[in-house]
This record gives sequence, structure tokens and C-alpha cells, in this order.
Amino acid sequence: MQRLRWLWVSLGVGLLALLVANLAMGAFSISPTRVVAVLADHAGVDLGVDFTTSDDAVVWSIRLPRVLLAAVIGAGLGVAGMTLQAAFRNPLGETQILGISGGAATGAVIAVASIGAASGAAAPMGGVIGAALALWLLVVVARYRGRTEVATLVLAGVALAAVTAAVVGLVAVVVDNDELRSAPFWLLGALSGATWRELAITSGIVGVGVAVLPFLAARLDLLLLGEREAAHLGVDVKQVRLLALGATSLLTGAAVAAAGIVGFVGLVAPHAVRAVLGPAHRRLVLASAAAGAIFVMAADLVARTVATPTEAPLGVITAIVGGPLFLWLLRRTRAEYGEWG
Amino acid sequence: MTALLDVVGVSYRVGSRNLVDDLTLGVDPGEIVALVGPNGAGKTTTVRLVSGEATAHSGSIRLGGGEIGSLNALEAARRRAVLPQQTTVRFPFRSFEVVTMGRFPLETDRETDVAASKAIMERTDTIHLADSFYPVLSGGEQARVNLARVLVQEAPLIVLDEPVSAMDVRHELLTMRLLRQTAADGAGCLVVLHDLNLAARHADRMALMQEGRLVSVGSPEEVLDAEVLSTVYQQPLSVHPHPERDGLLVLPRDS
Repeated sequence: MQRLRWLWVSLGVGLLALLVANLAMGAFSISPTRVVAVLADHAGVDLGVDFTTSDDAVVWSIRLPRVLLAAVIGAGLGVAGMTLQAAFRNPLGETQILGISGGAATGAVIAVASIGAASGAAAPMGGVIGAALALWLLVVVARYRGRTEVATLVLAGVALAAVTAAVVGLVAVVVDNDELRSAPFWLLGALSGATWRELAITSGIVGVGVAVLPFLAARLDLLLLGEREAAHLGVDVKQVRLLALGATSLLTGAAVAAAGIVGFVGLVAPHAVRAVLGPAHRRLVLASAAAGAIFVMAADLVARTVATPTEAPLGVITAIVGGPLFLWLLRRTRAEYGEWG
Repeated sequence: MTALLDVVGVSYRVGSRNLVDDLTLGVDPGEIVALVGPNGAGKTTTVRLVSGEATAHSGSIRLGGGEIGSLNALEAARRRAVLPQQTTVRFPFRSFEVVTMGRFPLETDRETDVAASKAIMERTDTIHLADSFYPVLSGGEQARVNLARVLVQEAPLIVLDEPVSAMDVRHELLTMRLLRQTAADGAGCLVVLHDLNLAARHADRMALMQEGRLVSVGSPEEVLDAEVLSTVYQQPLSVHPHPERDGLLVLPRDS
């Protein structure tokens, strides 16, 4: 119980600290007191601290939507990874590794190229559909005689990721459309140019996706016990898997439409909090969301500040942390599951 | 009285091979029915049919009066619990968490679930393992934790596929006594056993299978016929009165 309280407190403190740090730091540095004064001003409270109009513009119009978007896509991707790991009973489940982010990027790119980005709905819509199709394809390819083997799933995902990246690159080059954004944005991820409108749309979809999962928590636990055992205990396994993968499509589609492919969040966040909470999903949903938010907020802070005035791609920063974790998990999983055969 | 399990004329094929052929078998409240027979006789297939994992090609399977195909997963789980031969869990759940999962179909409050799980872990001699991680337990310990998970489900019909094969003699007897107590409380048990002597001692009725068919069913005295057993198992066997109590003892003979 002590460990539990410690975890919630550190997640809360981490979120708050990264929020303030992201608002204060950057090419144009603003002191934390002035950051707080700007926020208070917008809430109608005058703290008596002087700040300039450019402070206000940078904090309120540029950095705040961006850091909140970082938190939302981080939460979404963290929960998406957790859900994939349960639905496939595979600790290596993650949106980029399994090619679902690639599917989402492909869907978003095609939607923007054909409909245009003006409404702000095309990219998320295309993203969700693309993610769902990628998941469907993954299940068709990797499932054999009612089982999804650990290695087959990951290999199918790798292939899917490669193909979708190629399609995204091709469409981004061939289609002459300023709204489409560039191939590097989609494939490496970025949060630059985040707007309140984009934040509203993304958090709406991510909110729905995350809200489904607490209702599935007990059933996901039983799924980890075994599909056969879950069915014996009264779980409609097909229905649960459909709902879980549907939620994953929403989360991944919205996140990728907003920030491109930001990898490894779904690996780092759930595994980090599982180390404290264990594998049961009752508390894991909220904790994975918070940990994912923290991870992406921290990564974006690094991406913005590591090489000012230029920005490092967000996906590069998350991969530097997540890649080694993936390798370690791969080794551990192999030891537990035996030879890949 | 409605039978907890009523299997009538059930057949199940894979390709042209009948794994279960025209099987008729019932389980009533309060009784332990042991399903015995050589390897490949169709015992596990029968368990899979009764547990809804496989669907019979013909015949009828009723759970507490309801046709198995017409029950949803939750309704079925409230009527029968299933203990598979082995449950492999890769995620580090603690044994206590695994046991409480058995409460899922009952939809009772957390407090009730915890109390029931603790009580059943006392009775299955697993309470000392409550905080241990399930994946690192020995085979016999895992088997007992799973037995607790199945008993805590409080289903009227309990189907067990070789529940004692990984257990030592003490826990083997403990398990059979537990099943007897559960049956005394009104449950019915269908249990696949390899050990004929264990079946002879603890079952009310035995059902002997061979190549998907039921050879004989009845009290141990009726089923344990040396000639029949020797033919079914393709191994000369002899049946003797137990030296220390009522009942029979089956011994292999040198061939």
C-alpha cells in the first residue's frame, strides 16, 4: 500500500512538474512564476506578477496546447500499448512495433490528401480507420488455429510497419498538398504547430478510447489467465477482444493524426507501472495513461530544447529510451517463452 | 431433480475419426463421477465438449437443464466450473489474484470475494502461497491454486481434467476429500482420473471409455472387472478386495 501511494504521488508530481517545465522552457525562456501568472490571468485571477504580451502568447497560444496535446497522446498511446499486451497476451505489444501506428499514419495521409485538412476531422478519422484496418490485417496474418504466437505477431507487425511507412512516404511526396505535412512529420513524430482545436478533437477521441477500458479491466485480467480459462469463467472472449482492439484503434488513430508516429510509449509506460502495480488492470489503465503522458511530455521537452533553435523529432527521443527497453523485453520474453522455433 | 449434467448421444469427429462416439452420461447433485480409460479414449474431448470449448456434431448436452448452445458464457459459468489439465500464466499474477478470478461470474462484492478466496485457499492448503507469484510455483502448487480458483466459483457442476496428476500423495488425497465435501454440499463432479485405485476409492460412479465410446458405467464394483479392464487397457490387470477396508484394488499383472 505504501508503494501504491508513492506511485500515485510521483505520477501526480511528475505531471505537474513537466507541465510547468514545458511552459517555461524553450527557445524563449519564461520564469515559472510568470508562467503561473499567465495561467492565473486566464482563470481571471490577478497574482500581481508582471508579464509581457509575448509571455502570454507563448505560454497560452503556443506552449499550453502543445504540452496538453503531448499529455493526451502520451496517455492514449500508453493505454493502447497496455491493451494490446492484454488482448494478444504478449508483453511486446505496442502500436508502432505492431504496425498499427503505421496503419493510422497511412489512413490519415490518404484522408488529408483526398478530403483536405480544413475541418480538422479528416486526419483523425482516417487515422482511426487506418489503425483498425492494420489491426484486422495483423489478426488475420498472425492468428493461427485460435492462437497468436508471440514471435509471429511481432514479425507481422514489423512487416506492416515497413509497408505502411513506404506508403506514407510515397503519398507525402507524390501528392502536392501543403496541408498534408511532410513525411518526416508522420514517420518520426512532432508536436509543433499544436492548436487548441487539434487538442479538443484529439482529447475527445482519446477520452472515449480510454473510458472504455475500466469496464474491461476484470475481463482483460482473465484473458491473461488464458483464453480458455476466461471463457470457462463466463467471458465472451471475442467480444472483449473486439472492444479492446476497437479502443486501441481510436487511441492510436487520434494520437498519430495529431503527432505522427511516436513509438515505444505503449511499451515504456505500462511496463514501468506494472513493476509497481502488478499485471491486474484495475489500476493499470489510469496509471498507464499518466505514465504515458509523463513520458511524452518529457520527451517533447527534450525534443524542443536539445538543439535550439531547431527541434529534434519527437519519435527519435522516445525511441532512444524505448528501443533499449524493447531489446531487454525481447530477451526476457524469449527466456520465458522458450525458443521462437 | 434436474441433472447437473446430461449428455445424450453426443458424437464429435475430427476428420473421419470419432473422438467421442454416441456418448450418454449424466451427473447428479451430490455425486462424483470418475471418467477413466486409456490414453486417447476421448476423456479430454468429453471435457472440452462439456466446457463449451468444442461443439458436438450430434447429440445434446444440458447443463442444469439448459442446452449448452443456448447458454451464454456467463450463464454457463454459473452452472459449471472447469479445471483444465494445466493453466500457464506468463504475467506475474499473485496466487491470490488467480484464485479471486474464479469469482468473476458470481458478480459479488469485493469483500465477499476476498473472504471466499481466503477460505478456499485454507482448504486447498495454498494460503501460504497467497502472495507468491503464480508463474514461479511448482506444477503441484499451481494445480492446487487452480483447484482453489475452480472451487471458489461455487458452480453446481465441477468438471476436472486430471486434477491430481501433478500432485504428491498427500495433496492427491486432500483434493479428493475436498471434492467429496463439495459434493456433500450438493455439487456434482465429473473428474478425469488416470489412477483407477483413486477412482475406485473416491468416486460414486465410474465411466470407462475406449476409443470414444462408453464401455461401462456404474459403481466401482460394477466397472472394475478384471477381464474388461485388461481388454480396454491392453494390459493384463487383476482386481482384488482391498486388504484394509471395503473396496477394490487394481493391480497390473506381468504379461
